[in-house]
Amino acid sequence: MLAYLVRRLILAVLTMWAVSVLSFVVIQLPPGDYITSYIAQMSSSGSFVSEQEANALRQQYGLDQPQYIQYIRWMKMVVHGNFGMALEYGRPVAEVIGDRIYLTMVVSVAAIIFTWCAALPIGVYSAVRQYSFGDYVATFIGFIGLAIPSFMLALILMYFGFTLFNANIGGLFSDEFAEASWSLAKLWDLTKHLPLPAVILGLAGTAQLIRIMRANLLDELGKPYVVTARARGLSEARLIIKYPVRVALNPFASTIGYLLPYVVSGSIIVSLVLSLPTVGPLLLKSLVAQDMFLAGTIVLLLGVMTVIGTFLSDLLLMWIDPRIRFEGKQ
Amino acid sequence: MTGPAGRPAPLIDEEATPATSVAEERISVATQWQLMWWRFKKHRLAMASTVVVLLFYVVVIFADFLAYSNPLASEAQRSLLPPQRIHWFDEGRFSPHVYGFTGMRDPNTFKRVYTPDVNKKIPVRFFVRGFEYRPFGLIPMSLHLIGVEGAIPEESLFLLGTDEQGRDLWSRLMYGTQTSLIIGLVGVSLSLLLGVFLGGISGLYGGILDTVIQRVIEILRSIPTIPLWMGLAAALPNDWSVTQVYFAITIIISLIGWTELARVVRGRFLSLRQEDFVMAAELCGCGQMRIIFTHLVPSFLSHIIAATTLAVPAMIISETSLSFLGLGLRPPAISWGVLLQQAQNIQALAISPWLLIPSIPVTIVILAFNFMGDGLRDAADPYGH
Amino acid sequence: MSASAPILSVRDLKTYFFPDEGIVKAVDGASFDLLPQTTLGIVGESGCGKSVTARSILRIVERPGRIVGGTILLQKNGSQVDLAQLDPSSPEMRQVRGGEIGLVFQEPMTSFSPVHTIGNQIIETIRLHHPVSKQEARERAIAAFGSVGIPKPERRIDEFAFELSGGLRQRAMIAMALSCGPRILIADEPTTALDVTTQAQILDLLRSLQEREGMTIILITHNLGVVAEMCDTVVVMYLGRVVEEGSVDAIFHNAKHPYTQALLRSIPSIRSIARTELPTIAGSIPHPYNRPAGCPFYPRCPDFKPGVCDKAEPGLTVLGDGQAVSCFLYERT
Repeated sequence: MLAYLVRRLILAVLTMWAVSVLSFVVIQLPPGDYITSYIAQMSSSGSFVSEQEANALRQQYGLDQPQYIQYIRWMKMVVHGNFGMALEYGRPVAEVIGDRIYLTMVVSVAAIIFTWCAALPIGVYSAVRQYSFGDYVATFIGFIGLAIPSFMLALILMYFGFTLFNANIGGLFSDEFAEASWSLAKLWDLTKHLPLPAVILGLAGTAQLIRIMRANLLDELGKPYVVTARARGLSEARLIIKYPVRVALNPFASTIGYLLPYVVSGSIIVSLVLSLPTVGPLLLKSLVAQDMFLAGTIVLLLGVMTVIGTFLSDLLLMWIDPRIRFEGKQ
Repeated sequence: MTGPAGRPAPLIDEEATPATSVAEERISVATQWQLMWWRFKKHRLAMASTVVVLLFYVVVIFADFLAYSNPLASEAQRSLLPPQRIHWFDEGRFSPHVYGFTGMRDPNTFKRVYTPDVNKKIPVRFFVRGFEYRPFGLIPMSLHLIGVEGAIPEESLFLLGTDEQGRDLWSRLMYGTQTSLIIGLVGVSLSLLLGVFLGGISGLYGGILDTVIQRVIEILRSIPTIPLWMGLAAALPNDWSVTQVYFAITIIISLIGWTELARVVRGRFLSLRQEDFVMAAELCGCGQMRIIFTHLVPSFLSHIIAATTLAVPAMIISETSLSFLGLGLRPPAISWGVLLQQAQNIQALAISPWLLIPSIPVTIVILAFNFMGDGLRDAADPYGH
Repeated sequence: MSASAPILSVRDLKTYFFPDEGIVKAVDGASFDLLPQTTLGIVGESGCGKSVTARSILRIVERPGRIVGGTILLQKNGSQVDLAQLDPSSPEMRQVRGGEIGLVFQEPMTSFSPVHTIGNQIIETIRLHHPVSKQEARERAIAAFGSVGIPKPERRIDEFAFELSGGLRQRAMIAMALSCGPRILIADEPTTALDVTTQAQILDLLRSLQEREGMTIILITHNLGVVAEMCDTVVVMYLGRVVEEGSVDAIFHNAKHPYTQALLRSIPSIRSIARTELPTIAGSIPHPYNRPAGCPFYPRCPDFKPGVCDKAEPGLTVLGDGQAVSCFLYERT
């Protein structure tokens, strides 16, 4: 068990490092550097930056150094919680991002919870009542999630919401709470607005998971221990849930690790369509404006939060499957 | 009557009838591909989906012919026209036509509102001469499937309406389909190359190389990649030509899908390596190359085909998403994502819902590829059952 | 109630499977009696319907199969219950499973859930059939483990199946099947997956259990050696039908059916002449969708009588002394 934990921890740390490198690449990718954008910004507002001043600034920010030194400098900044300045807003990046990163994770986790709650019973039912009407309905729901990219689904739902109910179904907060500080009431408002984005985001993953659950369960249903359980006199419903579902749950649980990055990715685009106050719209704007510190930091934070989430899910997996606990013992 | 007990049984019983039927004979001598085909045929949904996919690629090839209006010709006067219905009979005779529009300003919104004018009957013909195009960049042609003879901008055919700049949506959809599906195909091919190469090395040679590649794949899978690709796409210089952007986007989306394919390939190689027939080939003295191409490849080829087919929807979704965000293909390029970008504004969408129509082919194609891939995957291992 | 009344009586059992490709008549008219405190062996090649018979008795035949005819009469509390008529998911049938009839499988590893301790599973079974507390059930489970010869049962009970060796697992399986005190134990190839030494131990265990508890055992196997060692009566099955039945002595020394004779001939013997070919049975088992009409064995039978054996199915002819055979050679016209 310890070996498993250590392995996952090392992988997590490695991944976070990879994320930081990739985020740095994102920052450095566009032609020109921070100072070029700064000069462009200054000149658009009327001020003029001379060549000398530019070079002095470059030296000050260490932008004349080789890439890996710049990376180390940036990492040092990041570790101290200093993410740089957001050009367009003229404020520190951390301030601009603010709550958005947490809201992104909240929406993503809500989507995953929905996915689980939907896929598990539907998958089990599909496998146990193969080829029944309910099976086909379930498969159909799954296919909607599969075939329609989440942002398109969001668009379509917004359209119907607007034309049929004259309601704007976007956003995570009602108007009164949008700018308010956190309180229990605001939390409740958030919860009321969560279901729709969660369903839209989660539907795509639901299809996947239903298939996985159905396939795994079908595999397990034919195995001898299920027959033995029946031969011992257990009722059908009870034995199915206690035995094959439990075993089929393992590969199911390990999918969280890959579901989280997928959902976080999807939330970027969906939050644009639904105007959610998450990191998505901010990222797009910063990329278009070439505000690289902001963009790079968002990428970094998204990656780090995802890795942490995945690691937590690994712990969950360990708790579910006793076989992992015994790994290496015999 | 007692029987002759203790008589030794003859080793060959001539009077016994063979139990194998004709069907069994056929099965036992069929090649791997024939078996796959038979299994695939049974999967009716997959067969239907394959037909759908082929139809879409017919559109890809004949996009110019199927379109009737220059997709780039914008005409402010025709902005946001609703779709027209084709009326097939005119007073009893077969004479397909559409109604022209009269426009007025809505006194409330000050927007131009168009209503079909029953008096303006515009005849619709098949196999019409229209704008010029060059299929495959070769000889110029101007024949189109459907259209209006000698169309003037105000009195023309708009099967699916027009967008904000007055461009005909049907024609743009034809070209959009062409672009999106070609990018999807090329993207998946690049992914496949990358995936087979890296997955193959990983599975075949094992060791450090395998560990490194595996870790890289795991890391890529466990981080949200859309922000990365967005960053990459946003970094493309603004002054790149449409074609350059086209290629760059294709490469970017191929980077999205290779990890899955590499995993499948690696898994296959790993399990095949243990198979007895590989050891037998080695013992016969076969060289590495021969083992790989003659023995291993045919065994996993079918799985690779299935995995590749299943990877195409991801490519299409990626390109559509990126273009929708404005980070992918740039105008004047046309793809499904570019078309859907017009639908981003909910107020505009409420008035002109036909702007959402491109979402229909996207959905259909994704479903079709998924079913097709499912069928291929089920049929991929004809000896499995 | 006389001691020679059968505790279980199977009459003309028919269990068919209905997959898309056609009908498979897995059991096609099997009949036999099980006398209390004896061991009945069901022998035959793979695919002859032995396992399906066992599952039919317990009504756990999986879709697309089901019992289409026949009766399975179980002596219970002084009266007879036809198991074939009960609803498979009814509480009555579930009480029979484990409570009246226990089942032991061939694969002890896969017969236990990989994610639950064996104690969990055996305690669950006990509490299902008897209203006892968890503590009491645990003690009974430990006692059951002890009675099958598992050392340190109070520790083993909290272990997982993968932590035990093959022989211990099979003992645990037997303990679980017996934990609720069933009168009949069906053992489906209990020793096939074990090495010879462990095999002998398990057989010893079964025999001692029978003596101690007065149990009745149905032993399903394709191994004639095990049959000779363990069984009192033998039922020989081929393609879903009983072709011969009788006491173990009668079968081994005085086999009547050509199939039984061929089976016995094919056992390698220490007394056979060196350097002679081992006799085999000609042909192979027909494809389930291609059953021959008439007697199922006729395509491979050395005593095949054309016009008779391929026209009708032979009935069970009783030959006296509990021996019966299903063959036209013995049919009294």
